[in-house]
Amino acid sequence: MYSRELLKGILRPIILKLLADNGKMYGYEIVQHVKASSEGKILIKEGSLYPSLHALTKEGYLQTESINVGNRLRKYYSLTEKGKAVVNPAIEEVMDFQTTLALLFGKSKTSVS
Amino acid sequence: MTEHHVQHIKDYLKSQGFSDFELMDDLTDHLATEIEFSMDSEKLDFETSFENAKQKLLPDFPYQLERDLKILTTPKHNIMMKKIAFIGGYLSALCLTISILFGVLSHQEKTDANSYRILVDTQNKANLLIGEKYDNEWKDYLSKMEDSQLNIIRKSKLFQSFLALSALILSLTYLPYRFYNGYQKSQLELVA
Repeated sequence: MYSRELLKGILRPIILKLLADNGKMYGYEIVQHVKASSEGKILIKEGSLYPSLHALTKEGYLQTESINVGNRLRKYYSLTEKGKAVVNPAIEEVMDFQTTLALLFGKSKTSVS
Repeated sequence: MTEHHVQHIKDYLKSQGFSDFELMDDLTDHLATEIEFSMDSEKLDFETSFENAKQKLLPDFPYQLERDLKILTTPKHNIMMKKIAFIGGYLSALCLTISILFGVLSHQEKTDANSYRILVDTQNKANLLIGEKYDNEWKDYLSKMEDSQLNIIRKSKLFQSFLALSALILSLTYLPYRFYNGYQKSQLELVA
């Protein structure tokens, strides 16, 4: 499992990509989906997920649809047009960052005489 | 899950200090889904499942979640407004302190001026009795009394200026922020 600090920066691209692939999802579903897809390596905490979902909604990237399920409201999140436009740039940025990290950490150690 | 169970979850969140209804809806559904899963798969009762879900899903201080949300969703101009309000509040308090200082100094100067006045009067009476002219000591007292009276006027003016400045800064920076904050809270209560 990766640390919360490490996941903080990539949570937004993860949310955007998931919603781009699956249409609309609710919070619990997002957590379970990420957990299953990453074979348990990425566990999104509720304390990080909901603030990010709400911030993305407020910034106009996501929209919500509330449905009554078992005496409670379930909020489904989906991408707005503005949100759809930032999915690819967000993914490209993460991939580029991954390549840069590989340059930094991927090289074998130079021998010290 | 019954309506009573859902209300129980909502009451718990309220007791933890949550006031953002959008966030409470999300967390209620999240906890309820986890509880339902636990009740179905592990055949546990609601209370046990709820306790497990709280420990598993919520941080040690659940309200931290709403704080994080506020930080993430607070527009930049609100942060700037808060900064201005706090700097204004500080400057206003500083001006008030300086004004009080000048008020105290002015009062002290009044006491000194009164003392010199008494000395001048006494000297006057003594000189009249013995028929002597005003000596240097009397002139010295008189000049000190005049200086003190001038200082009283100067310090009183500074006291008034700083007091007015303090009130002005407070009313232009900190008070609008407090009223705006109060207005937002009352709007939330109306929605509740």
